[in-house]
Amino acid sequence: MKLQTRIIALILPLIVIPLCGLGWIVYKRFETNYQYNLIQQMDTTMHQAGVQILSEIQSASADMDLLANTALLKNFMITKNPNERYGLLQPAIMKLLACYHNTHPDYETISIHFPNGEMEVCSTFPSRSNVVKTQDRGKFLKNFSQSPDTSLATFIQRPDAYTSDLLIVKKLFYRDYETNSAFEPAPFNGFLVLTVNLNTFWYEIQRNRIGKNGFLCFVDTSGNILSQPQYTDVPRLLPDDLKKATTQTVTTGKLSGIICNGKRFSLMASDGVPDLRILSLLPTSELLEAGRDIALIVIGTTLIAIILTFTTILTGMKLFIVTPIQRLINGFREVSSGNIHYHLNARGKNEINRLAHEFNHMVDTLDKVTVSRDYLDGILHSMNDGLLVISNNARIETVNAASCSLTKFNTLQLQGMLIGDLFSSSDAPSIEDLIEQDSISNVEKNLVKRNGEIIPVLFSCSKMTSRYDGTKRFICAIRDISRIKDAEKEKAELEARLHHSKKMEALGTLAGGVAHDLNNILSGIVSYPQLLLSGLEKTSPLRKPLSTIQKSGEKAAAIVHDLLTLARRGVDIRETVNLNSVILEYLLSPESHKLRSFHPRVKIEKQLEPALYNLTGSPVHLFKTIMNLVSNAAEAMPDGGTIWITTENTYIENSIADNNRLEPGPYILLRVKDTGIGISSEDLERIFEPFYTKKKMGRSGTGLGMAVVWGTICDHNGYIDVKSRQEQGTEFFLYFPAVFQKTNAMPPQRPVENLKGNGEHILIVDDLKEQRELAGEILSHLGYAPFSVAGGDEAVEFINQHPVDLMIIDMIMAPGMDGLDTYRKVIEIRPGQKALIASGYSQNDRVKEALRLGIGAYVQKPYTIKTLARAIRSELDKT
Amino acid sequence: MRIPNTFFPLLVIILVFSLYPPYCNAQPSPDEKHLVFLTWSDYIDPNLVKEFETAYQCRIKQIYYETDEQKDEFLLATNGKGFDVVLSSGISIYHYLKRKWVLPLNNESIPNRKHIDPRWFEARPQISGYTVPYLWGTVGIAYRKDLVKGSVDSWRDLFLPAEDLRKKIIMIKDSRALFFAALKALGYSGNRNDLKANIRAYQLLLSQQPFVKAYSYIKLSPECCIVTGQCEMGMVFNGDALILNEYEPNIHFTVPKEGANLWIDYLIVMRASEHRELAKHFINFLHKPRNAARLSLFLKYATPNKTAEAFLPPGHLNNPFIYPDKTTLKNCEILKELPPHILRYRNNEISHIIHQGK
Repeated sequence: MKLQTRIIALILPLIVIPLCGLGWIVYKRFETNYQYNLIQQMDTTMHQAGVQILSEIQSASADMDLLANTALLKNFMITKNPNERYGLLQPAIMKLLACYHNTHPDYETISIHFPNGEMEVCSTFPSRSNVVKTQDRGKFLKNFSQSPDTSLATFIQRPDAYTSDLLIVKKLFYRDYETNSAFEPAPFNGFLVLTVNLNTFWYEIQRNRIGKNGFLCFVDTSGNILSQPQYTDVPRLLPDDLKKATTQTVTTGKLSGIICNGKRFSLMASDGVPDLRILSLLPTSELLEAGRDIALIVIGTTLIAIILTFTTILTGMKLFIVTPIQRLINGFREVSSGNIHYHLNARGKNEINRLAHEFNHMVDTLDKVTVSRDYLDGILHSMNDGLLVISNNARIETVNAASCSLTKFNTLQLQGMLIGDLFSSSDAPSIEDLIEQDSISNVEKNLVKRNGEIIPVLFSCSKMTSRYDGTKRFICAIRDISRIKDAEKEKAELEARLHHSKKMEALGTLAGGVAHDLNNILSGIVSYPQLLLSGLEKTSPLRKPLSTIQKSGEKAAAIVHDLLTLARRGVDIRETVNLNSVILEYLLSPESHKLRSFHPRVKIEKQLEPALYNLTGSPVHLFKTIMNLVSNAAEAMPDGGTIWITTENTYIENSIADNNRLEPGPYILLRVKDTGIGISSEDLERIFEPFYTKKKMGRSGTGLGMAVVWGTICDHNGYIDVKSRQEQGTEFFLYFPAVFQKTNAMPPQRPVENLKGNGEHILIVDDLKEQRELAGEILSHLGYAPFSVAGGDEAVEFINQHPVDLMIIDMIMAPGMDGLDTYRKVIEIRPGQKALIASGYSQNDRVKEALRLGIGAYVQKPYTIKTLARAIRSELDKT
Repeated sequence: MRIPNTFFPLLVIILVFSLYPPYCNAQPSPDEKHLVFLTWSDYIDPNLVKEFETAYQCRIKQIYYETDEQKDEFLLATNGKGFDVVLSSGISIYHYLKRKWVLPLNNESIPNRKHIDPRWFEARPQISGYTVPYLWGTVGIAYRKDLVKGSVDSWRDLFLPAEDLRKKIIMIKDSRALFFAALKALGYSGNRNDLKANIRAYQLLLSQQPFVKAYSYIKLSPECCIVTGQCEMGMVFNGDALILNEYEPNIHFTVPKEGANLWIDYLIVMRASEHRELAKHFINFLHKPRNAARLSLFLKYATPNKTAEAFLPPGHLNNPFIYPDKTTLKNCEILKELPPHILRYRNNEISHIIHQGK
């Protein structure tokens, strides 16, 4: 049995027995008082009703007397002529009665009756339901006319038997002095009758109710009911029963009992009013059961008192004993489940609080002497590396959060799993390995994630033996090294790229150094045949060998130019170009015709986007790129085939640009596709290397073609991709960044004949004598007056003395000032001096600076007559 | 300047007396005779009264009654004393004769009696030796043409009204007139004296009662409920209807096709009168043809004075509501005396109807 139940069982009789005793005493006292009060109510109410009715009768009789004495009534009663009586007097009498009635609304009717009892005039129109009553009343009045009495107050039962009327009758005696002698008694003329419904008093009387269902009842002297309540909650009396009971047993003023309508009533009677007996009735059951309500109230109150007391005790017990004990129990449960930081509220000094205090003390001590699981879990789960505790049967027992995120398994899935299942089968650690080795440290293994992904990890493991039972467990740590691996891979790639760049840079330095000298040398080989040819007749036998020399020179110059391009020293990108124009220009060029003549079975198809975006770049290099690609494609098809050149607009998303440096944005895509022999995958990696060729060296290529293409693409910030399958063909994809500018309109080129000079003075500044002579020859040939000097200082001196129309200054001169410094000095003397700058080297920053200072154009060595003539003329014609 | 304390009260007294000289002069001199005239209210041209007073150096004290019953009450209360001239309906005069309250009159005592059309004497031969007809007229239906839907030409329109006329009808408070009209509506003679017909008339009146706003005589003023529109139909004397028409042109009057009560008001001189000669002079004065015409024009009722018709404008004489044509008059009846039990029945029943309506 619970402690609470035991206490209740002890207390309950102590509360209930005294309260019940108290209730019984209270009940008995109330019951006696209540019965006494009820009998008093019956008596008082009955007497009050009697007094009221008597007073009403007296008042109404006085009213009757007043009315009977009015002249109008007298006049009406003595007028015998019916015409006059009803034509003249009746309306006036009716009005009189109506006025009287209006001032006494509790009267039902005031009426005048003939001596035979028939009604003649009534203050109000009698309702149809009262016609019977009127007839009865007629009979009654007729009987009364025989009586010697002159007035009467009586009660007549109504036909409905529930109520009756108080009838006050006055006989009217008027003497008509015209017909009656004064000595004779006045004749009897009729009745004046006042009717009052007993119900009129009823409502007044009812204000004093008797008990709950007690009521008054009026009976006549014979015991007939004159009036009784009509409302439904009161038992209706049966006339016969009551008549029998009252006539036999009832004594005035004493309480007696009767049975009426099957019910027992307690009854008192009063004879205070003549002809009327007032009965005061109360259902005996109510009198007897008077105490029942009291008993109910007392029992109810006692019960409530018991419940309240009981509830208070229960609440107190719950508040001060049960709940604190329950808290203590919870505290013990918490500690036993491992929460050794759990504390109880121990304020107060009672026994239970002291117990709680001791509990808290115990918990504090426990906290100090043990390490909680929470602490261990904290350590485990805060680790970044996966940590697994393996049982000696190779199953995982404990894991930390990092293990779950590493393997993508949750804790429940991991627990019980074999450790070997976490690794790829080839390098899964077996339990034997673990048992044999005391510890394994940082062994690289492949971990298989839940989704099948394999990642490299470092696996470490050490043995742990229990102090209690010697059970062996293995503590394994797994570290994800996939990012380190990726970084290593990226580093290797970067190194390879650096290596390539260095190689290209070295090559460029080499090419740049050679190019300057070669170009100076080639100037003679290219320019002199031109001069000679222009002086020869068309039929001269020297013309062919000279032409061959010139073309060889030009080829050599082209190779030098390729080398410069490759070294990224020669590309001057500053024009807005439409790639379609370049392609068309190539297809119409002599180079293209030549290629087709070499490969008659190769067909070139083009599919060009009409609304192709423009790009910023060098048309010369683009031209060369296309030429190289088409040329390679043609050579890849010894048995003939088709080359497709396609251009289109495209937009590069992030995903496409992941392996290169392309920014997302609009691009122009050039595709060159052939149906040739294809390139093997080994070769594909090396095709862009300089001097790498599968062709026989010296036969068709220099091994620079694809390297030039690669260099051009790099200079244009573009990207190149190759797809090739052996025996099926190769397709190159070249991406150039698009610009939304209009292409530069090329000025129409004039023929050399129109570029002739007019004796203008031109100063040639070059450190090489051959170059000075060659330039002088060309200028003279073109009709100019050339002067030449061998260095910058000389040039400045010359200019100081002899103004010239134009200067042609070599960029690189040794020793002394170079072209740029020379020009700076010159413009100090002659601001705005027109000049051209020439170099065998490619355009560089100093050339650009010179152009910025005012030099008109840059002329690439070796000179050709055409380029030189065009540059000079263009500069001289500037205003 | 200081004003004496007594100045303002004196000023007020002087002003009051100066503003009310007629009041000051109105104090009757001890020799001045007083003629008491019991009559309906607003039923005489006040100018004629003034002229008579001036001519005969007397005062006419008018006592007004509102119903025939009230007039009887006045007379019964004093047993016919205290009144000199009484204006009454013919039917009441029968009772007054029996009570010997009335003085006989003839052409000698009242010379202008000769101008009266003899047919009005012939209408009630029993009382012709005691009376001088005053005015005559009909009782019909007045209604608001703008408010009442449909035409109104029958008593049935009044007694069996449309639903929207609930509490919008006014009826005369007179048992004889009410029963007369109800009997006419039922197609009987207005003087039917059998109980069965009278019971039916009572039932008709009872059924009409919820539609009746009031049982009373109407006020001849703009406040009259038919003028204000509170009532839309009513049982009205013809002259009253014409006066109301001046206040509200939408008020029309019709003599129902079943016929109506043709009433004649008579002037009598009371036997108990102390100024019998003056009373006769007064009646004679009223029947001077020019005066009778003025009276007819003022009250818009037809005069029985044949000679006076010469002084009346054709518009008045040809107005069918004042002088109904012969066809209408053919259906009209004057009230006749009824047997006592019918009278008794009617008195009791009518009190019930009026009482119920309250």
